[in-house]
Amino acid sequence: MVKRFVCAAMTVVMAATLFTGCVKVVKIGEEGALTGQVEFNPGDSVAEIWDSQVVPELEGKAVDVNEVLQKANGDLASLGEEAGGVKTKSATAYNYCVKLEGATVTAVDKDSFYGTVTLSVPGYEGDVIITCQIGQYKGSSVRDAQTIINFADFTNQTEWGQINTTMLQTVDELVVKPVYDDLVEGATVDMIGCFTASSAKDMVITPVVLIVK
Amino acid sequence: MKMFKKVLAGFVAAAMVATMVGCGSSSEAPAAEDTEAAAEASTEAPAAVLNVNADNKLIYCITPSTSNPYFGTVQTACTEEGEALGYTVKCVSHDDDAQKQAELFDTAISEGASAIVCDNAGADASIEAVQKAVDAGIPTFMVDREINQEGLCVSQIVADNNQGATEAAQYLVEVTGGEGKYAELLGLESDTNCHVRSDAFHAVIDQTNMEMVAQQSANWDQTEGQQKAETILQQYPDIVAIVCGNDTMACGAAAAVASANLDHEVYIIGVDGSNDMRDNIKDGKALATALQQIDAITREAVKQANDYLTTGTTGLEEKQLFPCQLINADNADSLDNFVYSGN
Repeated sequence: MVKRFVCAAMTVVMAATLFTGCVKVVKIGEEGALTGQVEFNPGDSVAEIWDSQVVPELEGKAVDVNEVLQKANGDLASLGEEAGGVKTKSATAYNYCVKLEGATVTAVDKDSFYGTVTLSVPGYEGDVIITCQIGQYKGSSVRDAQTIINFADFTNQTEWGQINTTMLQTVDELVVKPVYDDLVEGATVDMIGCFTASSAKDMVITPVVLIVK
Repeated sequence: MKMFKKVLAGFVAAAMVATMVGCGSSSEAPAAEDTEAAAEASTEAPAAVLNVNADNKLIYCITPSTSNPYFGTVQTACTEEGEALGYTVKCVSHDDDAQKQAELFDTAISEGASAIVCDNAGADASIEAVQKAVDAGIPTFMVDREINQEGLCVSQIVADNNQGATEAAQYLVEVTGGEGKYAELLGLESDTNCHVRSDAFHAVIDQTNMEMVAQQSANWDQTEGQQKAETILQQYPDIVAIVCGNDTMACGAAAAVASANLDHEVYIIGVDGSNDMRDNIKDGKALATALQQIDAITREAVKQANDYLTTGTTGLEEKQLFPCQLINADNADSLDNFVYSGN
């Protein structure tokens, strides 16, 4: 009887060991600790670098908008590497970071799906039209003007695109929304932002710092 | 019998110990080592320079069927650029059949190709063929479509489909005001670009009030695109847009809309930048497309192949993105044979 009990107990222990001892239970969301593969999360990727690296880099390299306009001489697409222009070898247009101080809002479009304000810059009388995106947003000038991360850091173009989308969402949340209601005709703004020189006459800036006075 | 039970008990105990020891060793340290090794393998470029046939001055250009002029442009650009650099260029088509592509890679290897320029037949299905080329010492330069493994191709030069499809979708939203029902024609679902473009379309359109009422694959094909669009229009005659993964399907959809005699506009967008789509845009039968600069991409691939074969390196990252150009009624005149001459 005792032997039967011992045999049964050992069988139970062995079964428990065989069926559970080799199985490592991993909680949902913690698989990466075991496999080394961490699920891509554009929100986390951007949050990690936005305040600590991206904004400081762009603030540091921003060129006075009047200097950029003067060098462009009416054709933004002609600037090239001047004024801190950056682009990948394959890209057709350069990206720039500019600083505006005391610019006046001359027109506001909050009705279009892609809203903008048009700006007049003190000291500039040329024919380049300067606008600031206030949501929704187009382009990838912020992502492409910074140098902290690049396409090769990501698995594919979908992830790279998601990084751009997330950066634009960050611009909306942290930069534009806090001052959105103050962006009215006649308002004075200080701004740091990025544009892609894909057009000779249109400087469409995506802001990373926006102060309405 | 007693002896047998003792032996059995001893065996069971030993098996338990062995099992427990085995569990410990298999689930910890080696897993980390394997992960590191796998990570290294997936990111390393081919270690040795793949130039065993460099002196043969032969480039194999392997593409999908040239019945789509887009792929005809790949072969033409490859031939022109290769011959200008002193190579003989052989062009063949895999017809989006991975097995046929594998056979064409085998042919290229057996004929001693110096390099292979390829627009592939599937992101996963092409890996084995490229690996065979690597094993034979032949470098592959992928254009247009990526494969799902880094470190095998010397270069993967692709159009920024995400950016292009995003801009086309944004233009559609501007024109529609973000309102109305729409349908989507997907490409070949085994093709990475099918998903990249669709995801990009939706990242924009899903932020609006536009409602997708139908989504079907037309496999990149114009006839199938027209047939699918006709069926969709019969069921949903009130749609305001048809979003297409490429221009051939978009041209099919434009034909379907033209024959439907609707009393409202149906805006059609595509991706590629073909002359047929350009003409539809100019005629007001389609709204916009995103030009993939495949002529420039292919020429760049051939230049990089020559650089690699002659110097051992391209000096560039493996994966390279070429931006797309939005083509609409304002700039359609600047597009010809996948070359954009505007600013």
